[in-house]
Amino acid sequence: MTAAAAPTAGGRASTPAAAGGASTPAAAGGASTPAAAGGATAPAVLEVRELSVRYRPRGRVVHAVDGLSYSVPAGRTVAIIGESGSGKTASSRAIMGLLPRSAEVSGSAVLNGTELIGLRDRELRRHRGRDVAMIFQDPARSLNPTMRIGPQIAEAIRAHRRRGGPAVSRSDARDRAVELLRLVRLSAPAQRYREYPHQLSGGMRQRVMIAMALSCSPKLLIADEATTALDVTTQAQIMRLLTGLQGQLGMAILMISHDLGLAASFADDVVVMYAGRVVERGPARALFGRPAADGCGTDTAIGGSLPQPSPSGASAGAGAGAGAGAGAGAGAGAGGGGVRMPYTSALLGAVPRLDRAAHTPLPVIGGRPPDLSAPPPGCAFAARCPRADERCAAERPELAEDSTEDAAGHAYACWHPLTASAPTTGEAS
Amino acid sequence: MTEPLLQARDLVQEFTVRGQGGVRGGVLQAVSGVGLDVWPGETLSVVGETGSGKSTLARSIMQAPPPKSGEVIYQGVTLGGLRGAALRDARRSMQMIFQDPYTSLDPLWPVARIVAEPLRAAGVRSRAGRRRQVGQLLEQVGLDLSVHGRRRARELSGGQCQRVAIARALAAGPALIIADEAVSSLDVLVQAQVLNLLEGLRTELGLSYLFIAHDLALVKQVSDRVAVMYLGRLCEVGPADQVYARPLHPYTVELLDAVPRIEQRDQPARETAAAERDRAEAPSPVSPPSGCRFRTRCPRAQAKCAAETPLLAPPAEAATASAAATAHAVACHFPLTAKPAAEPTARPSAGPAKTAGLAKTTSTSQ
Repeated sequence: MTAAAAPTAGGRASTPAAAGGASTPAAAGGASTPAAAGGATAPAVLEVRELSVRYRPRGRVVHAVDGLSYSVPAGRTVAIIGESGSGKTASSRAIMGLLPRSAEVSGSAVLNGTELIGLRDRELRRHRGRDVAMIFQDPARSLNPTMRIGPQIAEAIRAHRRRGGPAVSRSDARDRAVELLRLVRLSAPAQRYREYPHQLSGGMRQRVMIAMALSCSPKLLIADEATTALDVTTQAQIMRLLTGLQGQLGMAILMISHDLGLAASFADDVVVMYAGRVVERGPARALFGRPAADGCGTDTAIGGSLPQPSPSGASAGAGAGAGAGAGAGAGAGAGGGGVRMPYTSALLGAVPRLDRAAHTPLPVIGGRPPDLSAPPPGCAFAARCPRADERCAAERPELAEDSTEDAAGHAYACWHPLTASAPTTGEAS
Repeated sequence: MTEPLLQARDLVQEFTVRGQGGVRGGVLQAVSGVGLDVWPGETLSVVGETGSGKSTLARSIMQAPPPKSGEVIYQGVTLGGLRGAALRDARRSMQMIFQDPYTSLDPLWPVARIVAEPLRAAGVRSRAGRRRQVGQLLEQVGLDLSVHGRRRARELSGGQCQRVAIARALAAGPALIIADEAVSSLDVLVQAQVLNLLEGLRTELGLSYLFIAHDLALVKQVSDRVAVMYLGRLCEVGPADQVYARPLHPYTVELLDAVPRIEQRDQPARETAAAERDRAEAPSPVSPPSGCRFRTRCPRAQAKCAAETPLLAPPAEAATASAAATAHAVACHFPLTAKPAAEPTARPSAGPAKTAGLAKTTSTSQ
């Protein structure tokens, strides 16, 4: 692990773009997050540097992911947020070695001291499941429909142990599988063991997938839109389950999602991607302006459950909603948030919220993401951005940390960032 | 505004399910006695989880298939007795938009033909006339006939597909549009665009909407009234502002709690209170619980809830209140008290049961 940290420090000095992510765990971890309270500085479980994924369909070059860097500290949750086609899924699959052969992957992804990019499939398989596990959007398609769920989990346990460590007997694997079903809070786990996937609801299937993912106690769990296909109530249950398990098992979670609202409420760090590149990243509390006084867990527990924080969020939202333009400020202003990149602000503004008045137009931006086979020379968001000028179209802004702010680790790529003091009411149009 | 555009009375829809591979067979009552009105120019949202019967309700209203019992009166015409051409004429001005924009459009047809088809069915004979109208309809939904007209569904983005579906619905000249999870599968920015589009069309064309969704936050923007559905029955119906600000049914509270919030992280206290509920499985619609169907998941459930089915009615204390309050009805023996909140938009802290749970967890944490 120390071997992984050393080159990072070097990398930080040479590339300013990498600085934000590298300093994140040290600055915002430790004291503020209960999950990371154990260690002073959590070492990174996963360190991704300058990861790129290219496809070459019919002579064109599509830059699906372009120079992506981030790190996932132990015991913390990092969310990668983006629309369809932003490269969020491609980047996570590149790490897992799940992309088709035609994809050209370059850069570095160090998991627990092991470089994953460039590993052969056989070597990668040793890490999958044991060090890193993944859950997907559609649990129905990830499970074998002709096999009872229990034996599927037991099989996973035995298969992974066979590649390292002592072999597990059938009965031990069975016991462990039942235990895992209990861990993911499936009722009557011994009976569920004998059921088929079609007998379970979507939420229960996703619990089974989580149980299977946890079967070898991975250090990192990648959840790729794991709750997108579920009901809101089930989604909340699964997210609570994951955060609970994270505290119990001390694993890191890399959450891939299109839902900024979900990321804001469950992630420690957020990485926003647009057209294959990171446009903004930082601790969730810096981006979404959590109540300033959430220093410790109990504080939030008490303050949060009483109606106190709702009015602050609600009045900010209602105030912005009542204004003529509404604007993306409704999102950015909601908690005195520190979102600086107009794209993040637009995403935030479009999140369905309970505190918006009925029949007020949602702040929207027109247009669509650029063609990734011919990315514009400047900022990829320039064509849709209300703040864009000639420079944005010609020159690409690099991801750089904000030095004026006290929120360490908050970096964004923008020539004309939103300022915390000036609300973004001009966004709407 | 003297008469509702759509009235549904005691709708019941049943399906016979074959027992198979450990799943219990029997008669599945997807919709059990649901009644609702949609007034002209109004947006009513029906919200509930998967399996709550909200989509079946929409289809029963469309008579596709007709409900087992109950009555649907649309624009003064009872749809139940109508067959064939008479039924088609009666429900022409009631159109549907579905969740998956790719599968709800013919993959082989170009956009222009998809949108022209309802015009042809409505008897617009001239080709030039149809083309002109298709151009107008596409323009109304933010597309361009010359650019998008010849494309097929797979050549469009999800948002564009949904715009085509909306244009197709508008082509029939509807008074009511039933949108079944119409924006649920779209990216958040596109979702906002489509919601704004639907909202704009409502004011422009005087449409009424019946919105079907599983997420209360998603329909907040567009709803005049909200109906919350659980396992085939309505739990709560009322003006949107009242339902969101002062929910009466414990299930509505659960749905509101499930919405991820940007300004606050999920607190430990909320987690533990909600964790109790996590264990409760959604019961099978083939053999729903007796009495109140929500009681197996309800933190407030008592013996009475198993014995008696609660009827949808305004809460007791509303009898003396204003007429507006009586429009807010709940099917619960022990509804949350509808005391006015301090902040108009703030939600009350979910009543006695929740507070008791909170007190318990905070005391253990100290």
